Amino acid sequence: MANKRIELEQCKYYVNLQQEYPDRKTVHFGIMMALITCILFVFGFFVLGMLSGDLATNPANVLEKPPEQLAETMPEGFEMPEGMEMPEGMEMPEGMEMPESVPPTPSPGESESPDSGGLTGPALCDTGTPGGTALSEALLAQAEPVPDPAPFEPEITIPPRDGSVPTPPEAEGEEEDEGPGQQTTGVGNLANLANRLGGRGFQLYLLVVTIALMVIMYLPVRRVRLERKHRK
Amino acid sequence: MKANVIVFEASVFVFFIVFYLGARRAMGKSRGRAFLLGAVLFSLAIETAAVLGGVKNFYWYALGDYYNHYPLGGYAIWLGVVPLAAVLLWYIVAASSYLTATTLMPNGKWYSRSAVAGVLAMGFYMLIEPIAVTNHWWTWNVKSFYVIDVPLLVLFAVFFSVFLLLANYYLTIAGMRDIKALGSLEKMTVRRWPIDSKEAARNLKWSHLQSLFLFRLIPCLVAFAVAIAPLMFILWLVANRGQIPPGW
Repeated sequence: MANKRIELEQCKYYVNLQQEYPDRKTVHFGIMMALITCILFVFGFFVLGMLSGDLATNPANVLEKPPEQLAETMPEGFEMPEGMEMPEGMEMPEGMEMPESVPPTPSPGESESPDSGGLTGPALCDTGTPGGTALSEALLAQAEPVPDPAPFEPEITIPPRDGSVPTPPEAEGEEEDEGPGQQTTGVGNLANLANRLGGRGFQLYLLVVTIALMVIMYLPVRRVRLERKHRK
Repeated sequence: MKANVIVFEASVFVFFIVFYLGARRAMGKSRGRAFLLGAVLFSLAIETAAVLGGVKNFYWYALGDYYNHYPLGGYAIWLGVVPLAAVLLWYIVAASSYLTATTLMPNGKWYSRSAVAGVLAMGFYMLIEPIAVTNHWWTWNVKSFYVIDVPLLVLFAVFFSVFLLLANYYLTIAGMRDIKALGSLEKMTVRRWPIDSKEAARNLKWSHLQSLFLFRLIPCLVAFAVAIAPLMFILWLVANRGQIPPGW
């Protein structure tokens, strides 16, 4: 019975360290170490927030998509059209296809038409009669001339910096009847806060919250310090 | 210098190590470890559910391709669909709220201290969330009522999650109490294995008490879901931003 009691006492001591001995040096040191770290942590976030000031002023920033990146290798079986060269070191992004207006690469056996922009030459006459049949001639007569292929221009999305709000592609004509769109407005939008007070709204908000948190975290540190002094 | 995600992640790791060393001294080694384990599991479960449920995503840095091309551009360590840094951040917030509430209210009841810690954790996230969404550390997708691009729901969720974890910690680890409402459930489950004992919580060995604490996180998760579901519905009704479709 006595052993059991001792064991229970030990267990209680071990588990209830803080409640049993709240003024112990180790506990006090631990609380101070943890909370001072936390105060520095809050200050670190404040600095990170200050660094984000420019981003916060852009209303479209929060829902912006990450920049598209280039794939490491060309897709298997993909060939570059003749006359078009990839810049050195440039690779095609994964899942990206060449635009339709870029003519396909002719196979080595085929002769290339000098006027590759129109529907002439052997391209349509692959039925076994190289010179063309009546059917192919009729088709050629019906065919409309195709304009010259437009130069390949990859789409580049540049986030606006002037405060304008572009509609995200998913939002086009979908959400208008069903409820709120994907872009927050009024109190919901961070940029509204950031652009207020001469563009310092976000910084002021961060400053107020940071100071409040630091003061709250300092209270237990102060209390522990006073207790330690009192003990000495 | 930018508030890139690698800066966030590295600073969370560094602060976590120093903070944990302090918290371990303040709580005791074993209790500090139990708190860390409980906080990591609890927040991981909630964050995973949020990501899988389309409430939140780490889209910017979840793409392997993006990370491959930006050596310092993505989260380095992931626990499933959630970065480790996000889980450790929650631990730091919960533990510092616990230490503050316990030190300032040494004679307070478990529920008042848990509530104060929950409110303090809300304050932390009022600072963290706007910076996180601005720098795309994570993105909120849910249709809800937003304040400065942060769903109001998140602040309530932080309050409830911290409150429930600390209530469990105060009752099980610090108070070593039996909870009548959970008695029959515990008898059928955790009291059979691994505890294999019908003794009161106060008389359990430390390892068993720790098992009981971890087991009680499951009812805490249920309570969290019950508390947050009506709020989610109410905020959905007064939403000022719609749901972003899956695959965003």
